[in-house]
Amino acid sequence: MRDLFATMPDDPAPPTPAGYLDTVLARGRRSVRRRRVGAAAAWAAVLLAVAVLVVPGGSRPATPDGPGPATPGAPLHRPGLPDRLAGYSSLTSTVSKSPPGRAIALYGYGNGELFDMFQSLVVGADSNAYRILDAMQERGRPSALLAPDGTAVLLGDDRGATGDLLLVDLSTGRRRSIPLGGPVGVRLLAWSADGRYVAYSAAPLPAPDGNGDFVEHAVARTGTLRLLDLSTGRSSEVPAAKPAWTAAFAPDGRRLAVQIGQEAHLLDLEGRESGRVSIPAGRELAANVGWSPDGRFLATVPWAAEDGPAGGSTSHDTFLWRADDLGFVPVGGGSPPAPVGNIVRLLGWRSAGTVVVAATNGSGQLSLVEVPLDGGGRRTLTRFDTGRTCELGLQHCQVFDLQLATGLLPEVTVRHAGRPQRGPWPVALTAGVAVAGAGVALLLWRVTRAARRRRASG
Amino acid sequence: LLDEREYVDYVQARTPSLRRLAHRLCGDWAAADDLVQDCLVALYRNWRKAAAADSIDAYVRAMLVHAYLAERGRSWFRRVRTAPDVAGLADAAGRAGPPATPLAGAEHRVDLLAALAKLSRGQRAVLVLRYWEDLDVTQTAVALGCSPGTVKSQTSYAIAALRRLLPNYVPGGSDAP
Repeated sequence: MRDLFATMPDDPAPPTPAGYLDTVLARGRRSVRRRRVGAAAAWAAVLLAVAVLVVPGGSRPATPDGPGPATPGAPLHRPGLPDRLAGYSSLTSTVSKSPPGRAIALYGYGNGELFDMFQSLVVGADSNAYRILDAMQERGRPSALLAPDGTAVLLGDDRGATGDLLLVDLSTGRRRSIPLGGPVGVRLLAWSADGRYVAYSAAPLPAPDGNGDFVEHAVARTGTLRLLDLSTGRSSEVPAAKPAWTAAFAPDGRRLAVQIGQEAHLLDLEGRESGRVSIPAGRELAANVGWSPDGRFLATVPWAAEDGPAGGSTSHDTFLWRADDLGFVPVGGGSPPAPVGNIVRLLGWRSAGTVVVAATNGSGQLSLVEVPLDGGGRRTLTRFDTGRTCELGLQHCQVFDLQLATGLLPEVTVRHAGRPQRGPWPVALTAGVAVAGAGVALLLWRVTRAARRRRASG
Repeated sequence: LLDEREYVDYVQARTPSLRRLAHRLCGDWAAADDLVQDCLVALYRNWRKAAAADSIDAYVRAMLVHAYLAERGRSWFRRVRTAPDVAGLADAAGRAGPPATPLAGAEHRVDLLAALAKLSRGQRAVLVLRYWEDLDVTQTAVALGCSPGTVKSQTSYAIAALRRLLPNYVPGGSDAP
């Protein structure tokens, strides 16, 4: 074979085309330039993608005016409620990853018809931030309390007996464990307006019976009142207050109304009883927010379940849809306001004469409404998105365990919702999108380069 | 490019041999010039890497062969445009006069070139490198970017294919892959 090729002469080579080397050099220089530009563009695309995906929210609390550290405890702006609460999103970040700052609302949201797609969410008071309260989800979405000033959330534990309560700082995402002195089932009842005291009910727990909410139900039936002083982290038990069904602090934070049976026991912080107020049959003291700001009367709502305290059925983990009436009983005499109808839940007070409630309209959409107690017109503050956006669009979204930062309500304003700020995407998704974006940029660059080279070579 | 002077010197010195190799691969001078130009542009981009290689010639030869083989993946019109003009060769052979040697005559040359044109690019490349460029198995493997064993097997397949295309060819003693 080698002989065959060896005896085959080459055609005489024609002269190289005119300007051959110059063309090669020009194309080579252009190719190098394009490679550098392409590499720079690809890096720019990657950096841009990372900036877009990661920087918003970042690891700092969201603020209304964009970048800049929030100043915990000294907000510069009046708290706001968005005029429409955002719909369901799986891309919402967590309080741990991206603290939202003080919150105006805490609620459970989602549905679980086919998949467990419930979220425990907080909504920023100073921004349109939405965050998943991951600590709450880790503890089985227990009874929780949003601090009156919206800066923290206190959590029980629905997984069983717990040795501590968990205080989550919404400005930093830090968690503080508050020991209880031994494992007990807990049900959080009320937080004083000055933020110092929390009333909760505690009880030894039977073994889990496999049914949901066994902690809440067991403690509701047998729990003893305890008062937690957050400044010291110590709890004091009030043995006489058992079973403590619901509770609400007086506006000065020095007294507490605790419902035991069909009476509200008025206690001071040492557990001394100063009086009792009868609660009408079939009704209960509105949890946490039942004492009016002027201290003159207590608000009552129908039992959460027909069997009332005896059955242990609370409104915890229950979708908010049933409209009832809101009644009032005087604390020290005088005539209370007339009952108010079409109330799903009492959430707080704008003033002694105006309440903020959850209500539904004819189509079942939940909204937050300001209701004057003198019979004046209602004003809708914000609406929930209860559309068919849950479980991949198969189910309506439901709201439960809704609370507002009660201390912020007197000065709260309603603002345009705008675009929800959900914080940085999950790391895996962010990395995947960044890699995909870089890949697309690189592919486009290579395709463009190849096309130009083909054109240049004729 | 900091070493452009060196690059220019190298290209000026090696362009004739690169054009010859490209012509042996393509069978057509215009296509060969295109192939060499693409190769030299790529060499410009990667000159530092090439200059640091053990053998720049081997590095550039591998680039040229890879560019030739990469033509397989290009569009149909590009492949058609670079196909050798065997009919033109036949015309040229008819004007070439009597053969100088029995095997190197114009008729045999045309037969061989036509047969090469019918081989796959890989088979043609391995035959050109092994027997026309007179590279050993190792050098051919480097140029093709494959193992010596692959070179041997591909050479064997290519020779078998060539024999089927050249029924008048009587193999000699140097056909070992």
